Amino acid sequence: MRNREPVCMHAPDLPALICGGIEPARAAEIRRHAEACPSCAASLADYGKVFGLLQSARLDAPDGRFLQEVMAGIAEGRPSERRSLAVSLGAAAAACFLALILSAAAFDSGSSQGAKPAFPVPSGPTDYSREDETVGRALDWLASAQDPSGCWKPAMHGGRDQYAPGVTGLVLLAYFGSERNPFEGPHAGTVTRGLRYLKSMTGHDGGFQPKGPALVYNQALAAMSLTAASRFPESGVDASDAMRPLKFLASLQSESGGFGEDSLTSQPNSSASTWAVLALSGSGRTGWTEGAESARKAIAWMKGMFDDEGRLGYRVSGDYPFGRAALTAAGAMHLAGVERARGHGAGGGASVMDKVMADLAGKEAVPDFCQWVFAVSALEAAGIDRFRAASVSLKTRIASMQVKHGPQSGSWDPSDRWAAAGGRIYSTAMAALALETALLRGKL
Amino acid sequence: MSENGAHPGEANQRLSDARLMELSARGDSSAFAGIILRYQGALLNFFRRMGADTGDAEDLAQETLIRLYEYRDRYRPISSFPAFLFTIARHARADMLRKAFRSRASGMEEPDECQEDPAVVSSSDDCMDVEYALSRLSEKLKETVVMVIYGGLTYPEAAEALQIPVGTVKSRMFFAFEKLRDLLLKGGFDA
Repeated sequence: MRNREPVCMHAPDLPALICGGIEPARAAEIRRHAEACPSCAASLADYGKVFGLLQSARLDAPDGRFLQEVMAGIAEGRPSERRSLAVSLGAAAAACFLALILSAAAFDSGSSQGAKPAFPVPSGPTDYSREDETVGRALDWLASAQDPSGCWKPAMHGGRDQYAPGVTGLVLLAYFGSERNPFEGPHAGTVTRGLRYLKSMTGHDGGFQPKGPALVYNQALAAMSLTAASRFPESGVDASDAMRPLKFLASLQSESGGFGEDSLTSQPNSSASTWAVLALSGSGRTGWTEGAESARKAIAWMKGMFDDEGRLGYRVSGDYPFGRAALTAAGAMHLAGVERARGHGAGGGASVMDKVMADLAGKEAVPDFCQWVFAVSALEAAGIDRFRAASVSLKTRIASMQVKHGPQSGSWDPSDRWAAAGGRIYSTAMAALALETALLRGKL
Repeated sequence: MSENGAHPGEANQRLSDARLMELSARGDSSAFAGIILRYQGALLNFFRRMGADTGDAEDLAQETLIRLYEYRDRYRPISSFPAFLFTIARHARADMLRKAFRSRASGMEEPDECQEDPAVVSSSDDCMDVEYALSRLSEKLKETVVMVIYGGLTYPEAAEALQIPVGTVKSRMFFAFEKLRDLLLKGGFDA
């Protein structure tokens, strides 16, 4: 829009009348004029509304910790100790994550462990506790948001309650994905209550309510968390508790191999299929081996969804109704997992991984927690240094976005396109999962 | 904490900015705490509404206040304290953007006249909220309106901080309000 010329010569003074940036005598003069000038009167009324809207977006002052941090920064001295905040915090966090990833690489048979990294290693202190603190704050916040019934209610945090079983499963996955034993420490009660809720919500057929558009997501996420819990004798969850939801999930699979959102009547899509595959691929832990075959069938269906560039489509190849980034990352994760299982490293998935990196860096790099969780898994599963470096960078970005003060401290703002379903519960659990690299840890 | 439970900085809230800065320059940390308490909200709002996410806004507010502490000897009461503070704030933001631009091999670009914050865009599905509307203003208009509305600066103070004539502040405020009027009240996001 080009700046328009004022209709009345007094119009440029009107915002000052609202904002108080004008001498009282002049203000009185303009006000008298506005009473007689229809154009200025209309503008003044609208500017008042605009001013009110702007004021309504004013943030509260930070809490007492902010003052303490500034005073601590002054006491520590500058600039030698306290460099540019974004850069220094980013480097330290990057060093932390890098160290974690490289240590985890020791367990990766196909990794380039021991090789000199081909990317610059961030300098600065290696502080293992920093990542733990970020995830720990997230888990603390999630615990504080739990409903007394044991579930997490998305509607209380900007989402929709029809996704409650799935969101509860998602939160529990964040607890199971952390380095700590979820049944020891301060969150043991939280996890136990959450699992109790999921067990109580499991129908006789193994399905969760409601049977609507949230069905496959609810089913997959709840089944994943019950599967993860079944490894712990103290969880009160046994293999059959996880197996029944998994079997119900598999019953929703279409003949083509894909999964739709709600039932056999909906057209399969790669989003719902991704979560179904993640759940079913772990079904062997429950003693139910047919689930893995169902997962393979779904992956085979998804392979037909890739376009020439290696991007995963939604319902068919080349179909991107919700953008390409999250599905491209999901596709890369599946490819990396498949190729890694075959001992091929990134192999043919490398070109897709480059797309993932481009999506994370380009102008379309808007917050997308699904994309981030899948991308971290894909990039780190590839076992190639430059992809791992991109994962480090992404995790650093995610960590920097955590809310640090106020009642939402420890959470992430529900700012992505999927947050309408799970709200702040979803965004926080997904951020924790990404930071934990949970989907790769073999715990879920 | 003082004996009555209040932070020492709170006891200084009745002193003028200039007096608090003078005391700070003499080594009175509680006076500087008073400055922090007085301006922390304005700074946080300024950075957040200029497009920083919550974490970056807090980092920038801290950076500004730490720089202010370092410059406490340079402040002279002949100039407006808010203008002095927000000049530092602008420089802190510019430095961070430059460093981020250099350090990130990918993605982030230097701000241009009307760059939208993708985080803001994505958070506004209906494209009608204040954050989104502010993101549609040019950098100059946004900086001026955010400084006045959220920083609480008068027109002359904003002019001093932005190093422009007061008349330019007035015209920028007018054009900003006109565009915000279109965006917020008339749904003119296609304008």
